[in-house]
Parts: sequence; C-alpha cells; structure tokens
Amino acid sequence: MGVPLLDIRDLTVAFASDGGTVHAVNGISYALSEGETLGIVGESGSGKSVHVLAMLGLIPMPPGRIERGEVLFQGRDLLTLDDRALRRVRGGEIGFVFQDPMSSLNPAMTVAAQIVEPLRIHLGLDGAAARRRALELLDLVRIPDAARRLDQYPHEFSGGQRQRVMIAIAIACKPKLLIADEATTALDVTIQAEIIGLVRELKREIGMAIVWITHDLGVVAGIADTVQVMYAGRILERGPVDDLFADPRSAYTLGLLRSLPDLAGGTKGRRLQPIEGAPPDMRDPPVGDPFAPRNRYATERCFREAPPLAQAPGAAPGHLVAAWYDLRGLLARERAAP
Amino acid sequence: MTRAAPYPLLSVRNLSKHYPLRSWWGGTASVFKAVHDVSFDIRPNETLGLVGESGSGKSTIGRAVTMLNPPTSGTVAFQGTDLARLSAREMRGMRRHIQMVFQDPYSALNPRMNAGAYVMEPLLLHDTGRSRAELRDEVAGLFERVGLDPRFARRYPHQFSGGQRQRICIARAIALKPRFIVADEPIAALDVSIQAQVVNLLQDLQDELGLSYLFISHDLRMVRYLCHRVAVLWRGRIVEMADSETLYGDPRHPYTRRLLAAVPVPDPVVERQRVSAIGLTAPPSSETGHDLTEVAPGHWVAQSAAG
Amino acid sequence: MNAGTAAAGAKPTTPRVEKPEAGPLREVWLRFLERPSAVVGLAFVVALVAIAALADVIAPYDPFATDWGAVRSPPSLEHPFGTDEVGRDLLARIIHGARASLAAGLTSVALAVVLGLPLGLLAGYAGGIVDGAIMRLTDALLAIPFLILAIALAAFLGPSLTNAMVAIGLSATSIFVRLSRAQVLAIKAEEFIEAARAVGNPPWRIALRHILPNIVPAILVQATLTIAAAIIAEASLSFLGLGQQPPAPSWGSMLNVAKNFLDQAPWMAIWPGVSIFVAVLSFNLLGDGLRDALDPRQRR
Repeated sequence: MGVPLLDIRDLTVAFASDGGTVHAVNGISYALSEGETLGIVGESGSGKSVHVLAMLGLIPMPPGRIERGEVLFQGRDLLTLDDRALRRVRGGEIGFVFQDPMSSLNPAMTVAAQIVEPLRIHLGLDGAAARRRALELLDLVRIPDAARRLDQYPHEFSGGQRQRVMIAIAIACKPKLLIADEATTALDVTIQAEIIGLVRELKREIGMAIVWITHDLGVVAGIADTVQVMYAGRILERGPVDDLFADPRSAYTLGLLRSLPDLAGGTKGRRLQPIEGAPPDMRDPPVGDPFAPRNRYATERCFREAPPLAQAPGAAPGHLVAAWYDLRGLLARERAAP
Repeated sequence: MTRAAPYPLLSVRNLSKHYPLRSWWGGTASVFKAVHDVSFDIRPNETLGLVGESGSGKSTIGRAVTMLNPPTSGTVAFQGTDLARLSAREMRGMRRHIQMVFQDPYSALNPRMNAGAYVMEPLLLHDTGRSRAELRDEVAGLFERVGLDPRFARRYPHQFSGGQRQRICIARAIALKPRFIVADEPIAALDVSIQAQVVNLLQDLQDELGLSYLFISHDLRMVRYLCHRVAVLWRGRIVEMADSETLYGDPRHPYTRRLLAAVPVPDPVVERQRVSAIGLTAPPSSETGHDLTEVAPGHWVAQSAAG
Repeated sequence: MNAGTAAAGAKPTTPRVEKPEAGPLREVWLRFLERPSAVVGLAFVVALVAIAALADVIAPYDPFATDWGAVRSPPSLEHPFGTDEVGRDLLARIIHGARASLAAGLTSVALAVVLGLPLGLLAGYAGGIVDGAIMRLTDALLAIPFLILAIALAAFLGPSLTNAMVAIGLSATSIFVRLSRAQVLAIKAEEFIEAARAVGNPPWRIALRHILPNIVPAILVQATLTIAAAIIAEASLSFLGLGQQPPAPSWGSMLNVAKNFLDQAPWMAIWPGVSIFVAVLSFNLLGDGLRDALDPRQRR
C-alpha cells in the first residue's frame, strides 16, 4: 500500500482557559489508508473532534495551540501549510461534514450557490459547467426533483436533506478523504439510517477514505473498517471493526459496550453496568492511564505510567490497545470463578 | 422490578394540542395539530415510554400532561382529578405529586442559584413552616440519595458535569416524594458512559418510592430496557401502544417497524446486514388509519377503519 | 447537545470542581482584574467618588470665595488650576463640581433603574396588553432624543440641579425598560424557568428569584455606561443654565461661563472639560470591563 493517505504523528493540542491549560489531545498517532473507513468513538472531551479540527486549521488560535506533531496528508505536513494552502486542501482534497446542518449552511444563499462555491474555488469550474455538476451532486445524494430544488434556500429543506446537501458540498471536488464529525447525531434515527446508507453507497462509487467521528458504537459498527476508541485525548484502543467488537481489549471499550442496553431485550430486567465516575478534568489530566480511576481492572502501574498503544497479544494483527492489564485474561478468570 | 398495579394513576383521554397558524393579516389561516386525540393510562409504579422522532409531539404531551403548556382539549385525570380544570393556584399545589426532569441539564439549572438552594426550593414552596436546619438536613439526604456529595450543595451549576447536573435535577424532582415524574429525554444530553448511571438511578428511585414515569425518549434501546409499556408517536398521534416485550417483539404498525429497523446495533456483523437491508427504502405510505384497534390484549395499533 | 466536543475547542466541558468555594462573584472579580483598562476605570471612579465625598477637606480654597486681586489668573503655585472671572480658585471649584456631576450621574441613573427595571420585568413577564401599553409608551419616549427630552423636562420643571437629575432620570428610564424586558424575554425561554414552574413556583417568585438575578448583570453594565451619559447630560443642562445654578459649582456651568473668556483665560474651559472627559471615560471603561467580566461567553 505504500504511503498512507493520512499519517498523524504525536499530535498534541492544548487550549488556554480560565482555570489553566486544557490538554485536549495528548500525543496521538495513527494512519489511514486510501479508501479506508475509520470510525472514531469517544465521549465529550475525548479529543475525537478537536484533533481533526486542529489538523484542518479550524480551531481558534489562541486559545488553541498545536504543541507538537505532524499531520502528513499525501506526504505533506498540513500543520506547516499557510492559510491559503490549507484552504485549498480543505473542501478540496479533504471534505468535511459537521453535526449541525442548519448552522453549517448559509441561510441567505441558495443551495446551488453553496455547492458551486467549492467547485469554483478548487476546480475553477464556472457558469453552466458548475451548475451541471451541482445538479449531478444533488442527484448523487438522492435529493428528489434536484433541478427545481437547486435554487431553493436551506430553510426549504428538511434536516435530513440539509445534511445531504452538506454531503454534496463535501464531496463536490471528489475528495480523497471525507471527515464526518457527529454528522448524524442531530438527526432522527430513520434519517440517520438513510444518511449512513447514502455514505456507504457514495464510498463505493467514489472510493474515498472516511473518518467517521461519533459517540454511537452502533453507527461505527455498520460503517467502519477500523475503529479507534478515544478517551481523555488519547487512543485507548484501535483495531479492525469485527475484532474490536468481538474481543475488546480496553476496559473502556468493554465498559461502553456493556453500558448499552440491548435492543433485542437481552438486558431486560438486569441492571445496566455503567462506567462509574466521570471523565478526568483535562486541565489536570492524570499521570498514568487516564481511564485508570474508573477502571476496576486497573493495576498500580496504570496510575503511575501511561501505557503505549501496542499490538494486543493474541488479537488480530493491527488490533492495538493501550493497557498495562490483560483484559482477556482477566475476563477469562472472571468467567472461570464466578 | 415491582409489578404495576392494575388501576391507573394518570389517565389521559383525547388529549390535543393545536396551534393556530396566523396568516400575515392576523386571521387564523389554519391549525397546526402538534398532538391530536391522544389517550393513555399510566399505572402506579409503572413506566410508560413515549417514543417518536423530532416533531412527533412527544415533548408537547409531556408539557400538556404537567399543565406547563396546557392542552387545547382533552382530560388529564391524576388520581381522579382533572388537572385541566384546576385553577393556577390549585395546580401549583398539585405539583408536589407531579414532577418533571428535563432534557438539558445545562439549561434546566438556574445559573445563579447554588445546587443546595435549587434542591431545597420545592420543600420551601410546599412544606412551609419547617426550620432551615431541618431542610438543609433533608437536602443533604437527597444529595446522598442521588449519589452526590452533600458538600457540593454550596456549588453553582457551572461547577458540575452534565451527569452531576442531571442528578441535581432528579434530587429536586424527588424532594417532595411525588407519585409521578415526567422525564423528557433525561439522558439525551449525557455521554454514553453516564447514561446508564442515570437510568439505574431512575430505576432504583422507582422501586424505592413507588414512582410512575412518563419516559419520553428517542433512544429505543433505553426505552425497551426501562419501560413497562411503550407508546409510539407519529405526527402527533399514537400509532401503536403495547407492553414493551410485545411492541419490540411483534411491531405491527409500519412506522414502528421502520423506527425499530433504523436503530444501529453495536455488533458489526448484525449492523452491516441491517444497513444493507434497509438501504434507501422509501418511508411507509404516509396515510394509515387513525383509529387505535386492540389487536391483542393490551396491544393497540392504528388502523384505517376499513382495514 | 450530546458530545459537545464539536465546540470543545472554545469551551472545555470538563467540570470545575477543584475550587469548591469559588462562587460566581469571586470569579467575576478575578476576570475583572485580568483587564487593565477596567481596573484603571475602577480606580478613577473610586478616586472620583473619594474626591467628591471629601471635597470639603481636600479643596484648597472655599469654592465660593472671590478674590478680586486674582481675577482670571493663570495656573500658578498658589492656584494650581488658575482662577475664574471673579477670582475663585478653579481647583476648589472642580473638586466641588465633582459632587454635582457624580450626584447627577448616580441619582438620575438610580431613578431610571428604579422606574425602568420593574416596568421591564412586568412587561416581559406579563406580556399581552400590559407589555403592549408599557412598550408603546417607552417607544414614544425613545423616539425623542435623550438630551432634547431632558432639556424639555428641565425647562418644564424649572432650573435646578434636582430637577435636572429628575429630568435625566426620566429620560433614561426607557433604556432600562427596554433592556430589562429584552433580558426577561431571553431568560424566560430558558428551561430552568419551566423547571421553576414545574415545582410549583408562583409567578412573582419566578420573576424575583429566578429571572431577576439573571438580568442584574446586564442592568449593572448598562447602568454604569448610562452614568457616563448622565454626567454629560448634567454638564450639558448646566451649560445651558438648566442644571446647577450659580454660584454653586458644576463642570457644565463652569464651561458655560468659560466660553466667554476662551481667548483671555483658556484654563477656565480646559479643567472642567478635562474633568468631564476623565469621568465619562472612567465610567465607560468600568462598564466595558464589567460586561466582559460578567459574561465570559462574550470573550473570544
């Protein structure tokens, strides 16, 4: 496969705040191949969104600050690019879709004008050619009666349709990478299902790589090739989707899976198993494994030293975990001695 | 879990909430039916789930039942008293039995009131004539009951996390030992790892205090887990209602089926199949009947009069 | 707003629990101290209040004592600010004039708040006809420029400092009616107001316990800024002879006299002018600092 499409190395992002420095992203490294779909799961404050915004130059600086790291996109370090060069990448080779389709669209511009904009900026398309392409794109994201709707304004579209328009804008320039940050969180489940179906089809048609950021393990299960679990600005676990769900190695991943009730009714009548406690204050993150204070499997070493992200023993190749404890062994022992 | 009693605590009949849509010259152009002709019962110690998507009217029902936004028509009988007929003063007195937990624990707390004062407020309003020291002790007890350190009583909302704030709201809601709580999306704004904590708390409180809940949610997984019975709301009407085993196991209305089919499953094998299966299927035909028919004991489905 | 991470860039969502006793007031004070201009504004305001309060003690001369031997004498060691057309010491008159300016600023704004805040609360909370009536009246008052209205009222009530203060206060009332009403409407939409109704709060208690504390910061900021405007208004009225009556000192009336001697004795105009400028600037800096400190969301 050669050079990965995206190669993040030791990315560290911090924010200045009233009560001190917030260590939002703490030295994360990962790579993404062409055409791969990476699902990033985490809760608020995990750094899952911030690290992506930071690498695209979309966090306000100050108070934000990129302290260390490289973000190689097709071999070029995005962090060293000036604003102009970065703008060419954003919306061109990298498309993105955010959570709130209402505030991401300009209410005073027609949908056509907003789809044409990236085409003009990045591809130099104009006039009739740009309009033709805009129409194709609306068709591609399955908006019925696209020719008529092209000249309508965002408020004339439903929430789900607005998110389709956002996707049309994001893929307008045939990006190599599509980043979706909680793109379906604000939508109803039935609309969410439609959008996810659409993205899967688009991926087949266009062949772009996708980074799908969400808090919903269910969504990730259906869309991702690789899953990455983030907590307190670190990657705690990462691996091929099937292996990670079937054989989680981080106590946090296991905790997330166990805290969900089962739609099929398997958990009915049993108590839910929440993860006790709360995420750490990122102005004063713990020295060791950030999840250790909430982890009943934590060893003394977890509190002293942050574990590196490394191949989990006996798991599928590429299934990495940051843990000093051996979750598989511990679970086996629990099952053996109830 | 204790079993619900057979007689209703709350009985809602033909509840409607209509909003007149004014045309530009001020006349009434048409009526928007946010909720139309909804009836259901909630029994003591029972949790009724109200599910539906945005705009289905589920929050409107929660606010109509608690008279925060009274219904246009219909009756809401609480232990035999029609709340819609009470005067404002009488309704305020009734609120000791009927409480509410809101969706967004960030905006549901008064930023300029400390947590202790906030939890104490209902006691001050309804249990007048008790000494401050007594009330403070009771607040401390409530803090402990919902899993908060009583020393946090002097802190202000911004010093708490989302989960802690929701615990404060719950402490306030149970302060008067109500019979009935409307919980409007109480976990939607919380992180996944915190949601289960709050749901467990709600369940423990139900067992302890014999509470009934109207649990309004779009989280179909949590509704199945927590609720004894479930009503599915679509465009302001109930399209299906049954005990949760029946509703999830044997959904009859096309909308219920569509809704259940859309829930992502945290299992890659199942989920990939599911996503390809629903793909981009069209929504069910919009017009089915409105009349609820009992297809099996306690299982109500909206069907057209003809079908 | 699940996973507020999207916005986590701007506002970290982690709870603040490490400083248990840090109440809101203390935090406001700490944020206020971070702003040098606000601190300077506060220092000047405090100094101004001290000067006005201690005028009898610190003024080097009697502000009414004429000295025909030293008419319109330029600044000197004996008279640091010089003297006026009848030989009164200008420093003493500036110091005593601070009383009129401050009194006018504080009293008139206090009057405006006392009248405007309850009306605004009532209009915003009650709505309907009450709101309509109060707001139409306010709109009518706002349609007349602030100073013109004050002049008209002062002329109607008769020239005196008290009447000037009443006139300024009445003219500024509509500002506070509008502001408090807008604030009430914003706060009323918050979920905690619904939560307050849900536990059985009667309307008056919601207004006083839940709404009022949340609109005080905005009112406080506006009051500080309006004091600055009121000081100018008082000076203007006095300049026109509708405020402080001679021989009592006031910066405005001092300017009024000084305009006749601009060529011969420019210092007579300069000191009251500078005083007005400094007082107004101080209150404006203080108001801006308060706004930033009270509403951290406004900071970027």
